Amino acid sequence: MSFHDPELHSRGESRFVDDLQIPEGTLHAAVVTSSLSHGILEELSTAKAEAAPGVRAVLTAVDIPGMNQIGTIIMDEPLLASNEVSFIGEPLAVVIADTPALAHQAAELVRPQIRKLQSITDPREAFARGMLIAPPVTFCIGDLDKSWEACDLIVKGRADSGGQEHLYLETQATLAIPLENGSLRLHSGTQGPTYVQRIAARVLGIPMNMVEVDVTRLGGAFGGKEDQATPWAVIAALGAYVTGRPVKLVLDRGEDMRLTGKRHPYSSDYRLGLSSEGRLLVWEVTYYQNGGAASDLSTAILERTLFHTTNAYAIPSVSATGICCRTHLPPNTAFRGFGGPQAMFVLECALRKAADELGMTAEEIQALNLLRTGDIFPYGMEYKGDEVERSWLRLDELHDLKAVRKSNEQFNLSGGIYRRGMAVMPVCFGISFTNTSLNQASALVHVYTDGSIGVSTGAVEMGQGVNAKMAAVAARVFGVDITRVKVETTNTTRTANTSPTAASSAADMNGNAVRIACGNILNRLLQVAGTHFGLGDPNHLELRSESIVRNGAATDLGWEVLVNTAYLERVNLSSHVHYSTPGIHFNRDTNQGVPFAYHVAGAALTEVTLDRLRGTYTVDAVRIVHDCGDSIAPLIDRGQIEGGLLQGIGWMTIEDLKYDTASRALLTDSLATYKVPDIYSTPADVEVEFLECHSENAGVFNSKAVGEPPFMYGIGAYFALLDALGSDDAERRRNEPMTAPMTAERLLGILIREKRKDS
Amino acid sequence: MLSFILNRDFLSVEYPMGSPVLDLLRMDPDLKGTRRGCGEGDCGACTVLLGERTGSLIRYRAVNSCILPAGELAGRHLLTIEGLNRSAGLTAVQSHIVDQSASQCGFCTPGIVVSLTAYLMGTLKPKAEEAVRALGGNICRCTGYSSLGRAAENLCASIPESPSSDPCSIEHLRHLVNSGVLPDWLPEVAKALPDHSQEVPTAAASDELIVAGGTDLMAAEPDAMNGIPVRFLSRDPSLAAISLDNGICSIGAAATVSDLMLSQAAVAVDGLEEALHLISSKQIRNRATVGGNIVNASPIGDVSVIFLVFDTMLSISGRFGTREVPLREFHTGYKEMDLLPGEMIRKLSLVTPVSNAGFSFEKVSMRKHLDIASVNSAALISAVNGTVVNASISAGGVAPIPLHLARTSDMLEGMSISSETAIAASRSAMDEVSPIDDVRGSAAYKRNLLGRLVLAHFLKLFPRSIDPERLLT
Repeated sequence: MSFHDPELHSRGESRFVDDLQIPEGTLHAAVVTSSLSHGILEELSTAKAEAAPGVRAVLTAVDIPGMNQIGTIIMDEPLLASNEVSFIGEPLAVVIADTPALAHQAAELVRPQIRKLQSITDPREAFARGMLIAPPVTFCIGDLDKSWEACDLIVKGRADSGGQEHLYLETQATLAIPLENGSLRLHSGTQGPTYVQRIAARVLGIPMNMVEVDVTRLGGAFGGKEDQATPWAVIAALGAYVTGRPVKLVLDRGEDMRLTGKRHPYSSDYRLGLSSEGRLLVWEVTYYQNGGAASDLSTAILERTLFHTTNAYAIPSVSATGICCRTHLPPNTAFRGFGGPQAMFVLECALRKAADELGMTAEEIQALNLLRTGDIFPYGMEYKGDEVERSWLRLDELHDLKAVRKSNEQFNLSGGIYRRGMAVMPVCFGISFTNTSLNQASALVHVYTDGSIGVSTGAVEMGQGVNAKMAAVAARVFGVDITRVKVETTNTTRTANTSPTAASSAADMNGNAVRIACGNILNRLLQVAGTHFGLGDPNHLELRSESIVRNGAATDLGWEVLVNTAYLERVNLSSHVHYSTPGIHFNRDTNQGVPFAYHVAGAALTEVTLDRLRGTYTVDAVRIVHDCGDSIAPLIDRGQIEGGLLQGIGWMTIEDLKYDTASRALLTDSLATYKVPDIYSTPADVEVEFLECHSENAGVFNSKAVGEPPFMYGIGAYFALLDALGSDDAERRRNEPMTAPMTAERLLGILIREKRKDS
Repeated sequence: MLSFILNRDFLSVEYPMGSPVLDLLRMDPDLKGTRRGCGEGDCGACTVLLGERTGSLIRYRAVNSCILPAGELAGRHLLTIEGLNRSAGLTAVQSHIVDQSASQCGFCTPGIVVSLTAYLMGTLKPKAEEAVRALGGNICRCTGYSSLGRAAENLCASIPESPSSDPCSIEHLRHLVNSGVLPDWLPEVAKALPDHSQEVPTAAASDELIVAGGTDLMAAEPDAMNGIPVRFLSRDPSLAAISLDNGICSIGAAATVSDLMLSQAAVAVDGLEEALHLISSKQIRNRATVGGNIVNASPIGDVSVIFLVFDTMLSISGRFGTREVPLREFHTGYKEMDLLPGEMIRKLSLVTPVSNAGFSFEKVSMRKHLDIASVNSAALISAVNGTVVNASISAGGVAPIPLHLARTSDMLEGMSISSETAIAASRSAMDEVSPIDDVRGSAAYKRNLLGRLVLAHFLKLFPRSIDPERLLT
């Protein structure tokens, strides 16, 4: 019986790195890390650890045969610190021992001597001291001076959003196996097999063709394994390279939470100009991004913040500046939305403030300013879709936004401790890597002589269902049952130079590569069938339901016979296809271009009930209209929407990273202290409607990417809570920064202060 | 030597009694479906079923294997995801999850399958709402749970009502075999379990570590039981007995929170069962004991805070016999208590509330469920003709110990039930506590929150006499 992923998952038979049967003689690694957030490493004594039982090696920077450098965009991150240490949890040494327990015990014996230096963890303070990862970047469009003059209302303020722990259920893990002649195979839980391959080769000083990276699947990633699976994979590779034995490294939960970076916290200043009727005229914003101690993907993430500075709204004049600040925290990294959510949060804050001042509802301002076909984004690209407006209108048609507001108002007049609130969150998210060169993918398809099919691509399965989509594409092109298709592991020897599975685009690009590769083989098979039927031209032949169909009528030439016939006639039953997204380009000197293949849009209505006595709340309902194009897997896409939504709600409400004020150590380093949404946190009512598809999309079979955009519907929870706080909170909103997450503590603080003002 | 049944196999292995069952499972290449997500009972990826026979009754409960000491397996049935799997096809639980695409990355899915299966094993008439509650201890970062909710709903609708009268019966297990939930060999294997009620508890030794549920110990100090003799209280069924006799409720210290929820005591006190639902997760309630939570002495212990309002007496036994200590005097300082080495709490005794008394429990935490409170508080207030006859209010998270708010409780006696009285009690409570800043919130927040929770007690217990607007202004 052949099981696809969901069946295997439910039987506990899918294999993650820690589940792999380890080769005989496998050793285990433990990482020694810095306990200070900034300082100079003066001594690193490993003698005691080396003498500990079961220890095979203790490795430090001096043991690295190649470059001690794991940076991808900017080369600013050592694998093992050798001089300056710049965050708590920065790897200093690696202990390789017979068991994980012995490795951890010996790691305790490595005593780094670090001379403490001042540490900075606030991005604004870092900026003031000139601690930047890269020079500030500004996206600018329109005539700002003229626009400011035309405004009837200008609101300004500050908005801060917090970080977010990925909390993929499978922690970072790699099994490194030495092969002959100094080569290595890495079974790594990474979104970026090529990143791991390139950087392992760089650190070991060997060519990339000596490092094979194989990925079966990830137990969740959400961006946290795009760049940050790399250090652990490379540490295991180093251990295997030096000892000549397989080395396994699996971070425990506490290590994973302390040692890896998170979603970037942002602190932003904004100024929004409007006409008296609520039209958005000019938007000026500065984002201070807390990049952490090394660049990681921060500059790319910050750039996407700028791309989404206006979200789903048309604003003619914009000046948006992003400042990537270097701080003494673990390097922050990719997380679903990739800087987009941080941008959208700031603009929604400004809109609420403007609504307060104009005496309008937020929805009135939002609806008035939605992007329409032909509007120009601040990066010069024309908005070609119509889904932003259509999804809003459909949401209104389904749920009557005004009626919801009116019924809430009535409820709120009725007294008692509960108040209802609502918010609508429109989303417009660009699809493609904003680094144009990454928009390439490849597929290798084999049809075996028994008619079974193997598909390899550059896409990594991490729960988003990309394998199921790849199988569906192959089955659809060949006209065969999907059970014939096996999607193989992602392996750098079968698909080389892959882009990481990220930017929501893996199914689009790899799916198109699979579609074309299968099409190539199909054409050869139809030629064979044409010969079989004595036709010169196979134009009237198709493959449907596992058989050749001739002029619309079924024939007795079935799939398996056809494939075998083709083999005997020495026809190539394999195809390797490279795909690159057409028509995209972006000029980083002018910050103008067409960086996206298309945009995904949608809108969500969030309804909450606030308990004014306890400062607690429930998210009662989230009703979504979302644009999936022509979905090729509606159930999978719905799961992405529902899952993204709840992660977004978590980011905005209960997920609160706390650090020790003195040492800057992470206090919320376990599931006991860092709370992600549980089943009770799910809104009682989550409705999802797919917007009717009217357009032609670059996604495979006219589908659209789905991974990231729904995350941003979660932002609605924050503003629905603000709405429930109501006009009583307007004065605070006018004078104080808006800060996320809206924890119970923050809510009660607002409610109690409100009480004091009244009395 | 540890002898138990693992799925279909009778096993005897040499294994440290205090090591986590999860480690034992993960050494076996054929048992990789039980996953390590957090190692402290907070994610449910390692959920397994633990079965135990008492006479003719066989009870299976979902537990977290990462904080289950191996010694607890002796004479019991450990059922993992692999044990639930059929040789071909899917179980009813699995197929509903697959049908709804309620598994994304799949890492947590086996734990979810086990939790839902455990729910069906513990109920005669499945209800979707309860099935969802059974997943309170299973964290999934991918799905957003909506699809799991749909799967649970379809699952419950697909399972007919059990012909049995007791979920702990062989008949019920057979019903679940017939419904495609359990493998067909299970009832026979379950019947072969040794009778737990016939176990002879070993005599206490002076140097041994007494372990009740071990849920906190295993999470906080995984190595605490390494190389020392351990005495598992679950081996002595008399310690878990709960009885209600003439208004006196007696609760064995080793009764689990789940035991308590299913007991007469939960019926006798209106609101108690719902309050106990706010304690941790199903998996942990199945292990965590009433006495353990009190001896743990956490300033925020839910059980302590609840029982403080009932003027509970603790029976403590040790080498020199048994003595009685009021719960209100038991905790003496941060993690300090009136308990000598070698002593243990055997039971709690309390008088069930009179009919004019109302019980209320309030808890606010970052996340409503499976979380440690920022502040929790219980109240037991009896009133006659609008006047307080007797009041008892407790609070956790606001002092070094779970606190009985004696001053506030005494003050209330004789006061009329009104918004003003509620506000006075709230202010008094805020004055009576000394919270500190920590990861659960600032001191100021905790003090304010306690004030609000005291108001909430009054509003909940006397809705007709309290004006909510007045409380808020």
